Amino acid sequence: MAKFVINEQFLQQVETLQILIKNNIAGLFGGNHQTRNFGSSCEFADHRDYMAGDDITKIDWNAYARFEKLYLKLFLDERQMHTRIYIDASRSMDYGGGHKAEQALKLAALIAYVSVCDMDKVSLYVIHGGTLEEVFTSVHGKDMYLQEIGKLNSIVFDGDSRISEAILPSAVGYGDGLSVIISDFLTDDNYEDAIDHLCGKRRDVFCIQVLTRDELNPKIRGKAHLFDSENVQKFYRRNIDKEIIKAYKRAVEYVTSRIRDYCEARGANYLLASADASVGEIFLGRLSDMGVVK
Amino acid sequence: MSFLYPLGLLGLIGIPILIIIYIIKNKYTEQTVSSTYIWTLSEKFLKRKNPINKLAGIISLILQILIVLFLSFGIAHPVFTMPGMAERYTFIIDCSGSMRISDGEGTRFDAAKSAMTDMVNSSVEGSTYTFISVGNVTTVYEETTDKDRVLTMLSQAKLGYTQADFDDALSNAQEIFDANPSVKTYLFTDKDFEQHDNVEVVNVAADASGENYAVYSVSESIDDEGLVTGSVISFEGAAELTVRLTVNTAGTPFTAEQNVSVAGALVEAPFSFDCSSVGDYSEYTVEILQSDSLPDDNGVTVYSVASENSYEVLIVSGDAGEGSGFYLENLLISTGIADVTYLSEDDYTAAYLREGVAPAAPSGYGLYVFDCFNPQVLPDDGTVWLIGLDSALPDASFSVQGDVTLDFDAPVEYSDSTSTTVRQILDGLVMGDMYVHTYIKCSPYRNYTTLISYSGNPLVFTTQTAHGNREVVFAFSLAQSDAPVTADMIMLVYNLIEYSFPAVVDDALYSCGDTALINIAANTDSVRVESPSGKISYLDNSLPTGEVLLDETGTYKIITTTAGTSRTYRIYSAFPIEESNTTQTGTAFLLTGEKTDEGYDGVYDDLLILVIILAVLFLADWVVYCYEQYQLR
Repeated sequence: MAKFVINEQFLQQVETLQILIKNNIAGLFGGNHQTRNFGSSCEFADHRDYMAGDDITKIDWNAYARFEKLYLKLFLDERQMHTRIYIDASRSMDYGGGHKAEQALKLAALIAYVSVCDMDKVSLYVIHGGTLEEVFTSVHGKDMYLQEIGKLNSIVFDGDSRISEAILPSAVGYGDGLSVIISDFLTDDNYEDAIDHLCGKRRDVFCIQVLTRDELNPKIRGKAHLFDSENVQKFYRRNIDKEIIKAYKRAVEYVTSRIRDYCEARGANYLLASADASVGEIFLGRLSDMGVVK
Repeated sequence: MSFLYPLGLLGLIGIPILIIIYIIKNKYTEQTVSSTYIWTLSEKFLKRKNPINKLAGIISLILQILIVLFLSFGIAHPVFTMPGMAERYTFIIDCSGSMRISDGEGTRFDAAKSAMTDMVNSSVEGSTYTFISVGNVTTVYEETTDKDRVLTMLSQAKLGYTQADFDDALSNAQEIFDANPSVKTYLFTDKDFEQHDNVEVVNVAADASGENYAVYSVSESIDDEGLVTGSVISFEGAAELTVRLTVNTAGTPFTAEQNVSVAGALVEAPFSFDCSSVGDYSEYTVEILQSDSLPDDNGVTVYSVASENSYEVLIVSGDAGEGSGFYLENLLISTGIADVTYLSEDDYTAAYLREGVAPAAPSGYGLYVFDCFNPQVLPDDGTVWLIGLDSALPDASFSVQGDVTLDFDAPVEYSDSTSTTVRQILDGLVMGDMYVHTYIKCSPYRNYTTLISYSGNPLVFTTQTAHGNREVVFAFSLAQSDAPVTADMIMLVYNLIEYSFPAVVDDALYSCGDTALINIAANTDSVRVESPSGKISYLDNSLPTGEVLLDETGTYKIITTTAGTSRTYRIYSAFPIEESNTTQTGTAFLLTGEKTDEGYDGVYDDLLILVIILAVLFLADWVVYCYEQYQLR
């Protein structure tokens, strides 16, 4: 379990990153959260013929003077987005020498911070088994963020996680923002349904797969009896040699490409984040390169 | 299957120990990882599903178990029975002189040994071998089933110089064949036996033999005609040979060479060297200078018998001798075998009978002649002649009773004894021209032999001194007798000289295989014989003669030691000319009886395969180890 991951030092880093983000990117996921609907924002969108009953304050009198016909000025509608972050809190995220849980919490905190800076609401959930547990919901504004973000330290990583089973029954909103799933996705359990479900709800989906360096390039050699941290009934017993390592790397490639391809096919974003990489590097480098942030 | 050393199987205990160690040392390391999902998934991505990979974990153990297994078996030395595969062999190898002929790279004997070695090595283990070497004597080695043993016997077989006694070998082989008619008999020889029933003859003589020449005969008449003559022979065809003669004399050696044309195979070609300028010689050598396939028969050395048997003589003549000493001196010199030293009574007395000093005796001479002089003490070496001694000597074997003078010259009586000694000494005497007038009456008392007597009184007799040396007594004074001018006396003295100087060797040139007769003088301490190869043997010195079988070619040394003084005599054993022949045809060598083909149980106990398997296993284990290390990198 990651303890005191979100601390003063981290928040100072976040502040620094926020300045860098402001200077480098216009906002998260395309930025101003304008909708296709016409609303009451200050930004002009179009004209239409006046119809009886329309608000006469929105008649474009300049156009009337020119064309002697009543036109109504239309403005773009601006809505507050709701960013929902789902963290896989299974035991595999926090086992061994890796720092997957720590990285997951940091990424979640940073995404949440960027969201509140965009005046969006942020909800954060953890997945334990097949259930979704709220950490905080509808946080908006920096003050509230700073009050709530400390709750991330109390997240317990234990047991397994069944992503689809947890997300599908939950209220995920409709077309109102971004859904971020942070997990190692080291499971043959069904997570595709969750992605499909979120996409079906017209939400932007962002899957972050966090893996440690040892998981990407294992150092284990020789005769090994490997137990699964989530289920001791699962084990792997082999004389791990060069061929096995090669096969393992092919399996890693298969696992990462499977989720990446799945996401791309559905317009979702995907990021493979090393647990050892810094969050700044991930945000300013990887995400920018991917075009996820602008 | 049986085992030579069953205790070696105790090594199999190592297998369970190995398994236990393997289990202990090769436990899988337990480790918990965040997820085994990718590990399990990786099984699908293993490129090769090599079934050996399933054994990879225990292939090292399997190899090591096999190593322990084969090592234990190797130590236990398994012996497999091969029913009916073995044979009984009798190997007869010809060790005669002709087997020394070199037809090419080695001698025929080498070729025979090589052929026999191949045959032994290719035979089935468990076969029985009897090995017989045939030289001048036949040696039957013990029967064995051990290949190494029979090959050791073969290496011990000595190649001789003489003819082989095939009759003896045949009788031994027949004995073995009679006891077991299934025995396979092989004869390795260079002779072409026309009849060889039940015997397989392995002829090791090459079809095209090299040239061989030999000194066929040699003789000398240097003293009379001043010649060394003889002949040489070629065994393969006509040849132009160069013969060299080297004569060793007291001065500069005489050397001469002569070209001799040999007309054809087995044709003698004579040679003759003029040696008239050569006087006394100690030895001469005749040799063919051309090299051939058998060097042993290319030279002959002949030693001078007279030179070998020469002696030093001391004559001491008393004043009463009145010239008889001079007479004896000339007689002895005329024999050519004696170097004479003459001392007068005064000289001898001054040297050995000084006043106030105990009487002494001279030494180092082969013969001491005391003529009308009593030395008081007899020498302890050499033969002693006592002539006209009118007083007794403590060391002599007779007493003196005084002079007897007859009124007239009476004829002496010659012994008619048939003993060899008497007949040799009296040989050539006319027995009738010697008379006696005055004589000394003596009474011998120790093993005496009377040669000449008068009226029962011994006038000339032989006996032994107190030191065991030969003693000849003349019971009359030569100066006061007419005897010196008689023919019988001269002949008697000559014969007595031969008796006094028994020639140790009567002949100095023999053919290998002959037996040399060695005369052993009484009182000889030892007779040592050194062969050309340095082999040393001793003759029985209690016998008057000894025999030396000359089974080597070259110079034999006969060394006699008497009273601390040694003399060396040399005789030459020439290579037997019949063995020089490069193409020999033997007579029949056949075993009578009906041969059977009964087989015997052979054995296979060769460890070579086990050693190879072990080497392969060790190599494989090492390769597996290296592969594992590489895989784990």
